Order: sequence, then C-alpha cells, then structure tokens
Amino acid sequence: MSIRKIIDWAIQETEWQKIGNIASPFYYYYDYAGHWVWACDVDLGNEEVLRCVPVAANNREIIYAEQGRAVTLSRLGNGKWVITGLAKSLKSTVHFIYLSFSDDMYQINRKVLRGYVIRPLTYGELGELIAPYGYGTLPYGVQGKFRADGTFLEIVEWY
Amino acid sequence: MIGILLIMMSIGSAQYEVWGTPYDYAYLEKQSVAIEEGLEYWLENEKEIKNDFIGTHDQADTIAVTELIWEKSLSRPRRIAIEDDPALELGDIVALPDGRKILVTALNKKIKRGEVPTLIIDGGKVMTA
Repeated sequence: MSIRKIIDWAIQETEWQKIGNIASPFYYYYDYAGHWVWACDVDLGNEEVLRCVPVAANNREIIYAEQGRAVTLSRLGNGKWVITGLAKSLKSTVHFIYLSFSDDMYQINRKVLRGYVIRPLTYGELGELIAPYGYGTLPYGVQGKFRADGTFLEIVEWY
Repeated sequence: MIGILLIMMSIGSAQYEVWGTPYDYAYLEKQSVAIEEGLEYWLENEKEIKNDFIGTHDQADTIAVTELIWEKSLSRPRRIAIEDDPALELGDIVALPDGRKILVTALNKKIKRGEVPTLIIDGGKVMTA
C-alpha cells in the first residue's frame, strides 16, 4: 500500500458528508439497533453500491424519492452512513484527458471516461446476460451497474 | 361606500400556509480532469475550478485543457529585454525571429534622462498543438 493510498483512506475516513444517488427502491431494513427502518441502496460513484443505507429519523425532507435522485449522506458517530436529505447536485462520469508536453508543444494523447452508470437492462441484455438460460430468467426493469465505457459490472436489484 | 369596500376587502383576504420544502431538480456535475501523462503522484499539483455556467462535458474538457496548458506555460518563465515599444500590452504574444513565442505577463521599464528606455518583458513560453 502506497503512502498516497493511506492518505486518501485517511481523508475518506474524516468525511462526514457525501453525495450519492439512490440505486434501489426503498425497503424495510432491520438495523443493528433492532428497529425496522426504511432503507435503500445508494450509489456513491464507487465500484460497489452502498447497501442498506437507512433514512435518518425525523427527516422531513424525503417525502418522496425515486431511483436516481441525488441524496446527501451523513455519517453517524458510529461510522455508519444515513440518508439525511436531498442533494442539490449529482456527480456524473468524469473525463480524464492525458496530455504530454515537449519543448513548446502539447499533445492530447487520450481521453478516458470514468465513472459508473446505473440503468435498466435492455431487452438484448436481458436475453444475453445469463448465458445458457437466455431470455426470461431476469425480470423486466432489473437495474444493472455499468462502467462509463459500457462494461457490465453487476445487477443492482430487482423487484 | 367605505363600509362596502371594507366588507369586500375582508371577504377577499385569506391567510395561506405553505407546507413542505420547494421542489427542485438536482444539477448533474460535469467533471473533466486534464493531467500530464506519466506523472508520479508526488509531482501532482492539483487545481480545482468550479463554475456553474459549464453546461457540457465538451466545455469542461476545453477549460481543463486550456488551464493545464496555461499553468504549464507559466512554469516555463522567459525574460527578454528590448528597446521600448509602447504598443505592447499584457497578454500579447511576442514572436522572436527564431520562431519562439512568449506570452507577456509583466512589463517593466526604467526611464532615465539621456538613456534609451529598455523594456523588460516577463512571460511564459507559448505552447502550440
């Protein structure tokens, strides 16, 4: 592990607010304290979707939120994340542009699109994803997580 | 007459209470990162620019690349001394006879009696594609 990674990790640990978007419908979740709470999965822009994120109690802002809505997450004292409100902005995919410089010239070498997209699977994908079984195994409306270049990563949820 | 008007006023007035928070769409952030190829992490010197008026990824790309080239240009400072030319301004590009180009970021001159003023031009090297 490089020093950079340790520093990045330390910065991440001190974060108390994050923006994510909802990646699943809301469901009932039996939390660590033994209460039934409303929760959902939240996409923070990382490879893994954050599962079972409860909606903070006494939250009056979230009356209705659908998949893809931007929400703010706050960290509780015990280190767990909760949804505390609606966010004003939503993070998108990121363009990385690599340049090289010589004496007094510059050149754009490559452009890479990074990030993740969550969207319903297309009919074609429903038919091809589970190879030997084919069409009909996965229900309509199932959500998949893809890299920005279109590579399939995982199925996020289905009803 | 005044009585009628007062009655009309009281009938037409009401007190309303609006509950809930205003509904608004979330803004999608477009982010572009221009970076020099093959840079070690300890050589990185990050500069973040945020602007609400950037609408597309293409616009963000252009700004990111331009800013990187600008910073790169400033990191190669040049100083030349020429005979005074009042037409020169900050932001001009001075082309030297050998083909090099310098972007003017500062101009200095000393004016003394009996001397030809010398203009000191500070600037950065102009990068071309």
